[in-house]
Amino acid sequence: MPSQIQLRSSSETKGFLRKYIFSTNHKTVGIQYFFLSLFAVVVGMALSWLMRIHVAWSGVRIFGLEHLSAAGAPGGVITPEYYLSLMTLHGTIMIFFVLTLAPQNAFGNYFLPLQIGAEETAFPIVNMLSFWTTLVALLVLLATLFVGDGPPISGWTAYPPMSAVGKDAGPGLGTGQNLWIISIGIFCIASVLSSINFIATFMDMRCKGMALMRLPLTCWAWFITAIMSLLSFAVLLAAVLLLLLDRTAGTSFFVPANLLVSGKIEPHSGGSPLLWQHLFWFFGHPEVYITILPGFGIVSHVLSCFSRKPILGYKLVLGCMLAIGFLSFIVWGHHMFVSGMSPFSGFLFSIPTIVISLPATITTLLWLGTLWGGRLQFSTSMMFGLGFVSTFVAGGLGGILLAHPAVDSYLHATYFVVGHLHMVMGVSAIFAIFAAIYFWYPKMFGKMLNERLGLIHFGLTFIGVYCIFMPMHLLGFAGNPRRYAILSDDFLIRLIPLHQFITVAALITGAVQFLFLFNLFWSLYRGEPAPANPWSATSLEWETSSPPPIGNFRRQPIVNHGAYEYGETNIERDFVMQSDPESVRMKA
Amino acid sequence: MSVLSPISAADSGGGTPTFLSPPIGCDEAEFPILLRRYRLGLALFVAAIGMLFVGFSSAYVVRRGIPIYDAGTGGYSTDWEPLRLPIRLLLFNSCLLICASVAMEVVRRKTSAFVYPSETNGREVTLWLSASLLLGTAFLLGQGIAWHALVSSGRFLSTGARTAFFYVLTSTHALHALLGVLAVAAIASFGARISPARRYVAVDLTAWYLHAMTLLWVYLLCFLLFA
Ligand code: HEM
Ligand SMILES: [Cu+2]
Repeated sequence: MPSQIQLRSSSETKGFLRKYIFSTNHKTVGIQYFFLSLFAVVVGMALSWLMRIHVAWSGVRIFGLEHLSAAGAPGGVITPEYYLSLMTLHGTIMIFFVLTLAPQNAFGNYFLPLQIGAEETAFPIVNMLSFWTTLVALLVLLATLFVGDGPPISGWTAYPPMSAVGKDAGPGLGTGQNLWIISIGIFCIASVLSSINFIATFMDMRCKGMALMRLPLTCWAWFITAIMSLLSFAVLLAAVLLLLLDRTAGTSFFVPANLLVSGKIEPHSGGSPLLWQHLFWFFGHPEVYITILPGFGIVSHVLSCFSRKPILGYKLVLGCMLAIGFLSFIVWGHHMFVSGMSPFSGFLFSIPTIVISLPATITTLLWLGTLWGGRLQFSTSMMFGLGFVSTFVAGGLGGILLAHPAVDSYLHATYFVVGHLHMVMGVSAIFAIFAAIYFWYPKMFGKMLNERLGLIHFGLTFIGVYCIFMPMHLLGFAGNPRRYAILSDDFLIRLIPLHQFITVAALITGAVQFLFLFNLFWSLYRGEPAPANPWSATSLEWETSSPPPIGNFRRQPIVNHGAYEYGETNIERDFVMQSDPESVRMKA
Repeated sequence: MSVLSPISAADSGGGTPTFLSPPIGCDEAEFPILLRRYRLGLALFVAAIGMLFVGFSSAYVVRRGIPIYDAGTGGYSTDWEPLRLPIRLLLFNSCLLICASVAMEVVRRKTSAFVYPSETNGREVTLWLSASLLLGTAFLLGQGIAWHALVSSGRFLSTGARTAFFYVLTSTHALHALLGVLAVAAIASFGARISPARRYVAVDLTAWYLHAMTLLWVYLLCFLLFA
């Protein structure tokens, strides 16, 4: 009935600036976030190469690096301090601007409204603002490379006293640390704004028939993640404000009395570095699940689609995600077992930490159960989904070891933790992002990605990440501390060959990513045109054209089915779309 | 299959008109939906502000309890300084803010979503709106006077942690209250030019936001006085 079709056409008549740059359209904002993360991940990866090369061959000259920082890399050789600067920047970029943004803000912005049958998010202007605020945060962070004496050396966790006492404590701790704090503060505000938009969209914009139990698990994951961001980033904002005051206004929140820094007694008195750790990790632990929960949703979605089977235990997966969301707020102390906190508190934090691995395990088993007996289709997206399950288990098992204070007192601040966090967060979350890209690229850009190139990309990346991050666990067992720029102690020198192996693997795996980048941009122009529903999937985004029109749907969708009805049906296909009429149904 | 069971309208999501809804309430029919959506957004915003202050408050409690080790005597002391606040001024300010909030509530109740105020109780509404604006501004000024009093008695951010917390908590709150006062000012100056439905949404949100900031202030004052 054409009379029902009354799309808002106002955005079509908008000027270039409103349409592509300061756009409030959720699809444009999603794509903006996507490219922002893509840019950030390239920078972050380049930084990691510099660090890896330096750890493995500490005296080596990296050609041209002296132009980035004459003091940090005299003659192209990285100083130990500059190594730490690069490390801080790497961690901050990756955690905040890649792993937080891509799964949630990029794909969530694009696909949440589509999957719930809405034409927009609840607050489009807020959405636009949060993107531009985030961009400012990224620029402020990158500015640390070029002003003062470089990025701070205090790591992505910015522990005081180092981060609180100013430039006397080391390079980058003057202007660099201030900019870092400002950048993170801005990022917090942007995250809060964006999560308000996500939650309201989820709660208030579902189309007719989209009952809660019919929602794709991706939508649930974005919703839970948004709640976690809303609650945790506000606390981080409080923490960085206090840190900024310690640095600029002479307060003493985090700096203890009589601290001797570079031969000078600090004027501060009575503060506590532990206080920062509590505030930071109250944000920090939810944050690690903020990076991974959208991945849970994406992987559930993709595995079900490419197994041609309903997701096993929809409600259980959902319950596990809710449980993880809740538990992640009460385990933060496991990052502080050896910080001088009372051992009783350590015990108290150890219990929920071990408990949180239960919902994670249950979800993993449900994913395997979904695969069981399915007619598996090994598309690139599916492979990355399977890769996610693999790396998540590999990294998660390391977490269970770390969850025991007695074990952690040996492994804390070693490469074991680096291996754990990269396996479970770096690699798994990135794999979820890849699964999402290979799955949704046709919808977003109207072109198919090259599958053969995609499978090669997956295969090499999968082998690569295991070569990089599994040996790090061994280094940790051997006692190799993290955040060391040069390995010069006897027992460390013997570990250098392993480090060299890791570096080579990292460089090769990094190079493989250019296959992906090539595929991404080449397919934009040369890819085959994407049909509306290339994967024979059920959720609403596949009902509309690729890419969807402004307003998303030509007709307002009405949902009659759940999100995962794959299998024999009473018509000629093996799936029921959510918007199919009620007469279409699965065979019992 | 059970997933296929038909669902009732109550089961479905946030109501149908989302699909065709124009940006912000131009139409009376969409007004209830918009009002609900914007109230939800506001509630979430206030929740985030709440978490900000949860962060500050827990930092306060932890910082208060930290002992300082004295190597000379081997004992512990504290640097949690006594803080004499201009209590009467602060109580007076609280009254101002509460009254601003109440005045805004009156505006909210007297505002109609369907007719222009000029056609009914325009003068009355304007009066209450101005009262709220004045009282809100007075509160902010009063807070300024309180800081001034503290500064002139020689207590700064760097004086001690407790004083610092006082400044941090009150100024962060003042900043958020300022947002509310600005919103009242915006309604007072542009409110006549927008549709009644839109105007109602603006008034309603501003009123609830002011209430939230008032409640937050009452909490903060009790916290500062008794914690
Ligand atoms: C199976 C559940 C998990 C358990 C029991 C667990 C446990 C732990 C523990 C105890 C630590 C502290 C180690 C130390 O610093 O000594 C840790 C560190 C870390 N974990 Fe996990 N973890 C789990 C899953 C995850 C997941 C899913 C992510 C991310 C998506 C993650 C990300 C991290 C990060 C980033 C760190 C290190 C932070 C740093 O110090 O820079 N973990 N984990
Ligand atoms: Cu943690």
